[in-house]
Amino acid sequence: MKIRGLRIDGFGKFADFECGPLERPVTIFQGANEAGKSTLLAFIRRVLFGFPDGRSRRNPYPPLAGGRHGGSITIVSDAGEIVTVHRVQGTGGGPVTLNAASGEPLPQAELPRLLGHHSRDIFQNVFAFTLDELHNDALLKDDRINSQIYSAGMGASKLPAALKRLSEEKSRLFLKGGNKHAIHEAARALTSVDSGIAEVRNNAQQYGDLSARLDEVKTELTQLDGRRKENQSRLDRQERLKSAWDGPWNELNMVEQELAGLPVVDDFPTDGVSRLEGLEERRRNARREFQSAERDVADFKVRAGTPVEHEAILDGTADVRRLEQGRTSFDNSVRDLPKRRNQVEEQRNTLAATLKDLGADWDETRLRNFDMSLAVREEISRHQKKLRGARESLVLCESNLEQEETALARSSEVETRAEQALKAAAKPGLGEKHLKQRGTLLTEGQLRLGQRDFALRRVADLQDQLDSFASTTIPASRRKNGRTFAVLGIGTVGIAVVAGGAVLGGGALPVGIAAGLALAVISAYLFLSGRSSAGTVAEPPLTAPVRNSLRKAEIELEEAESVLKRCAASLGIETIDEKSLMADSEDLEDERNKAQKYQRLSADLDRARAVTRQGKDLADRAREKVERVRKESEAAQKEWLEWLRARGLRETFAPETIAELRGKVELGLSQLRELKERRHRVQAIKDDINAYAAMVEPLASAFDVALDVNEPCSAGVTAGKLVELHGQVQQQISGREAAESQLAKARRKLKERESDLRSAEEDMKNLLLRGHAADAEDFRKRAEVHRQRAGLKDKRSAALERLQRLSGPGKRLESLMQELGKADIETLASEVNRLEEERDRIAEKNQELSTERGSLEEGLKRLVGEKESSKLRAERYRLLEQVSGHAREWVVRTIAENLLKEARGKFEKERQPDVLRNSQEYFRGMTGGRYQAVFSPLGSSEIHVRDSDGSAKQPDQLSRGAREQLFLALRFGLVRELGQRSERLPLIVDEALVNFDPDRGLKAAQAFMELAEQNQVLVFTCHPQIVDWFVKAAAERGVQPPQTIPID
Amino acid sequence: MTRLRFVHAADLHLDSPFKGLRVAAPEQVADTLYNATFKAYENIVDLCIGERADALLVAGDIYDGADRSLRAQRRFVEGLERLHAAGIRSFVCHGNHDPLDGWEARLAYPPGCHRFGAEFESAPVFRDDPGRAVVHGVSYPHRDVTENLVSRLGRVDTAPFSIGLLHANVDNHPGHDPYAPCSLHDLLEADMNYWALGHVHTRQVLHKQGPSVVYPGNPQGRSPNETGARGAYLVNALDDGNVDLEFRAVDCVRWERFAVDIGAHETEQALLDALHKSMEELLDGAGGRPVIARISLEGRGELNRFLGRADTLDHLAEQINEAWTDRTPFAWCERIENRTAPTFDRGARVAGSDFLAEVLRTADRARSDPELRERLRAGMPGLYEHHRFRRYLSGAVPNEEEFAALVREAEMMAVNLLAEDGE
Repeated sequence: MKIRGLRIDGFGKFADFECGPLERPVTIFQGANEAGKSTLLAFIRRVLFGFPDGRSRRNPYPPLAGGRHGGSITIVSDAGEIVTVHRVQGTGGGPVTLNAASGEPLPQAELPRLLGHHSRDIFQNVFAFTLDELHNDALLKDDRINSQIYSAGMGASKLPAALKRLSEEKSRLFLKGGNKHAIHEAARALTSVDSGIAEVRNNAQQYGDLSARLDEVKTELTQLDGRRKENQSRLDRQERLKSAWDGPWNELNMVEQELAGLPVVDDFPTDGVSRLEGLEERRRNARREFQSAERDVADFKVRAGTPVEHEAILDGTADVRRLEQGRTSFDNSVRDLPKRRNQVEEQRNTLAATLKDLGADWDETRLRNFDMSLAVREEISRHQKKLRGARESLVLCESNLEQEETALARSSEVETRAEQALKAAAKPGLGEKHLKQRGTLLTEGQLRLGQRDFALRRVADLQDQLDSFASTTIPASRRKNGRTFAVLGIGTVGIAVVAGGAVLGGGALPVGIAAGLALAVISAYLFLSGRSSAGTVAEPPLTAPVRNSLRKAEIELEEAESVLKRCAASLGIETIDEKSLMADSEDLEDERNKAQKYQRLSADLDRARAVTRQGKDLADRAREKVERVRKESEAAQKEWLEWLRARGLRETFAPETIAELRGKVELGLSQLRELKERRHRVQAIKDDINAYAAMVEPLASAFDVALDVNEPCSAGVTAGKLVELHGQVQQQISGREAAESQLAKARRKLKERESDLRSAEEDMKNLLLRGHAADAEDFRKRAEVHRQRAGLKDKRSAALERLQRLSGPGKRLESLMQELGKADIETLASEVNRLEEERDRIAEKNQELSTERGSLEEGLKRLVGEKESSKLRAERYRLLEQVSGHAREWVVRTIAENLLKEARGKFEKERQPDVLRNSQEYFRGMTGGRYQAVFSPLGSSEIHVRDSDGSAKQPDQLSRGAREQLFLALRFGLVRELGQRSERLPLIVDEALVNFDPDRGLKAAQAFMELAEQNQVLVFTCHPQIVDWFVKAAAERGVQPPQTIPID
Repeated sequence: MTRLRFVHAADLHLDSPFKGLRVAAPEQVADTLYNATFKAYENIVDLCIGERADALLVAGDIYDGADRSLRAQRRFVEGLERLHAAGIRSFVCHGNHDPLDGWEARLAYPPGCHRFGAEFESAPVFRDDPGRAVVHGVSYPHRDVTENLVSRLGRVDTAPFSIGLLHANVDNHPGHDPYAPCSLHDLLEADMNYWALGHVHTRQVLHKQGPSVVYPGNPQGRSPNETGARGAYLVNALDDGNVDLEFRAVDCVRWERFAVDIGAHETEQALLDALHKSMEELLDGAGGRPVIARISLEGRGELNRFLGRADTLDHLAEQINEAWTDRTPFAWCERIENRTAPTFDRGARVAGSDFLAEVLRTADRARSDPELRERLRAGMPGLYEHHRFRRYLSGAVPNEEEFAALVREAEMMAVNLLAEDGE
């Protein structure tokens, strides 16, 4: 796409400015400072890509010199289409119109295609930039741009992150010079474990020493055990001899001597003395029991012959038993009688009180005869119901009457107030019909007033336009080009007027349509006249249509005035304006309010009167009902009194109180029944007492026991004495019968005891004979000698037995006794002491060695059982494994890192993006080969350059001039790259070369000239030298020199 | 008819630590590991007593003398004492790990035990019937025995049943040091009925009969490379001079490795479920023993990227261990290795024009370009030659083959890091 010409209606310092056609590849706009070079650059950007919105901080370039804010640019697309783009300031970038060279309007949607679908930012950053923008970083921040520069899409976007992660992981595993990494930690732990293992290895040496010492100790203990056994054997022998000497040997000698001094009593009954004493005891007991049996026979003989007094009472045993059985009941009756008598008296008093309460004329007879039947109770209940019903009806009706009277008074009061309010209200002056007509006139007046004002403004506007046409002079050199814009402008205004009419609505729409059509006609006329009479002088083409519009607006104004006058006459006012309409509307509103209020009060009074009438009817009906119910109540009362009189009851009784009387009568009857029952109970007790006394009396007189026949209650005491006498007699008879029986038994026992006594004496005699004793005394003496001899023989046997045990079995006893016969006690004691001392010494040494052996064995066991070394060795292997594992992980990451770096180096060298390669060519050319390469490290968002020495630099390490050349070259690369795929937009630079030295400036100009073969170049500058560079570059390249357009 | 019944074991390596563990085991696991070699040895002794064996033959490397473990030697002697008390004889020779000149705790061996010296000796199995069966054995006088000990055997007195007890590397078995090297031919030539060998940790029957030449392997696996059932041979020597061999597992904790293909699993949970299932199967197949597992994740799949994230494998192992370590018997996953690859078509991508393709091509070029390999090694000497760490890493410097594997691993890591661009 190329720019053919510009036309500025109003933009910054420019107004009605036009330039073109721009037909050469390079055009230089040359002008002094503030001549408007940057303004022109901004104008191109904004017409093509839109105005910034009102909130933008960018310079709005207002039309300082007048004119409409905007203008048009005529472009030629790469395909050769000529299109004029016109844009004025407005929302959304400002309205834009496109027209083909034929004037035919084109759709707006064509514009992005013509601009290569590039965004405003791309255009500003890549194609049309100022010196300041040349090296700011906006270029590299634009995603669409940097994706062209860097390696996006080449699969390396994660490379920096990958390298970073590998580096971090490697540092965690191993870092030369570091001491926090995993291998260092594991190695440190290994050192500690190795030291532990070295320590544990000392255990082996210790184990050897302990083992050797243990062997020695065991040998010593074995030897010591031999000595201990020998010593013990000798000691045992000496102790046996000494024990024998001290014990059995001495005893044996003494026993033999004593036996020799005693007489020989060898044949003697075994246990003779105890058997003698047993027989003596037996004889004494037999004699004592014989004598006791004799005494018993005499005693029982006496007791069996004794007589018993009142023995005859046993014949009346059955009567005595009855007395005994009835005694408890008799005693209870005697105790109960006074209590029962008191109860009769109490009941009699209670009944008397109840009768007194019923009335003086009440006694037991009337009480018994009082009618308490169900029929009577029903009668009372019926009267009670009737009386209560009459009373309740009366109360209800009276209450109703009271309510109705209160309501009547209230409604009368409301009626009075409504009458007063209606009288106080003013009557309305106008009728309803009049009010409505006046309202319609007022609405019509307001509408026509608006139309008149609009028509007035239209007339004034159109008049102003005619005035301005008359005073404007159009330069001849601009008319030809200006005509096209005028056609478009007026056409556009026409559309806007129609749209405005539609928005305003009502009367404005036809006016808008008319004005719009008029403007369309004007534009058509202008267009046709422009084609047919190019170059002729004429009246300004807009004058005639505006005049027509003015005439139509004046006609509308007159119509509106006429209607307004008619309305004023109908309303009775002189003229209609805003003020008079307002006043009349207020008056009309007051009248409407008065009429509405009067109608409302009148309706209120009618409603109050109807309510009062209804209240009076209700009160009268309630009063009649009260009278009727009162009469019914009085009749019921009279009927009740007659019922009372018929039964002799007091007239003061009400049906409710009759129930109370009935209750008291029932109470009296109950008390009367209770009294009768108590009297019967007292009489029964008296009968029981008399019957018992009658039973006692015959026995008392037969056995002389006292009884007072006049006092039956005392019969209990007499009965007791008779029972006691009967018991005594019975006991005496039993004693006599037992004595007779025991006498026979005593006689048999006497004979048995006599036989026992004789047997005992015979046994005694035989025992003495067996002991060869004359009597018991002699027997005892012989028995003592025999006992002593037997004891000594036992001692002798025991001594021999102990000696046998000390010597051992067989002939050793004889040997022992021979040895004892030769020994003496002092020698034996001395030898035992010596051997005991030796034994203690051996035991002490044994204890000492055993303790040492235990300690040694414990030590060895501990050394053998220790697990520490096992654990340490296991830990060592684990740590070694860990170190080699970490090392392996580190190596894998190192190789991965090297692999990525290796691939990156190759990739960077061989596969830089085309943009960078193009830029590199330009940059190399501009710097005369000082810089050889422009590249972006893979995966990064940075630009680096490599100079002829091979060293890489970043842009901020370059001089300002070189940096600007780099960024210019980058743009050239981008322009060329973008141009291969889309519309080739013009490259527009504002003072981009001011910091270049002459040599590089010329080289840059040559680059521009080369680029201009594809893309149009527009250069804004104030420096003649820059113009010269371009002229020289064109000459060197043999192409058309640049077109120079001076700007004032 | 059985002439003799004996148990043949070797390479007990009592109290020697487990290798290959990188993380500290939980307490229960650690306790089991500390006692595992002892327990396996006790199981051998129990086997002898339970089967009423006539003798136990131990073919060297009973313990690691360099470790100077008193506990190991004491427990060994205690086991022999138990055998002696049960009337079972024991025959022991020493190997490269417990040579005669190594450190020894001077423990008294029970009378029923015969330890062979630095020269071949012959010892009858039955003292009351010396001609019935004879054991000929020799111990290493020092660690580095590089001569063929079989050649020193010479002529032996013929007996109805002769056993050779030896710690040796037959036919240069790979993966084991070439101590006391000899050939199978040497052994077959000797006039033996049974060669009870030690040194190779994986059980092997080199020659079945006439004579039988047998490595029983070590009775307890001690590293992720020593997987599966471990134990000893129960040998019934028959009248005809042949033997019946019966392998008996005595290990008390079993090492296992298994691989899971991530291609079959779309989600992390599905992978975890598969790992749980595999762990359960391992335990089921271990005969009531605890299991230590090393898991290898393989294949291509979407989960490759998830597995490539930092600490993911550790977290995965933690989740598995939370479910299995507290059980009895336990299963413990000591490590998960990631050998997976991304899903992308490397062949197609390497032909592309983007950066990822360049990375892949660079990795490929490294195979044939020694200078590029050197550049990829840049920085590595800084670690392997570090004055402080080189002693721990002297054996870990990757050779060319290992380096090639590392390059592949690094390539996968780089691809994952560039993932979004690469997919």
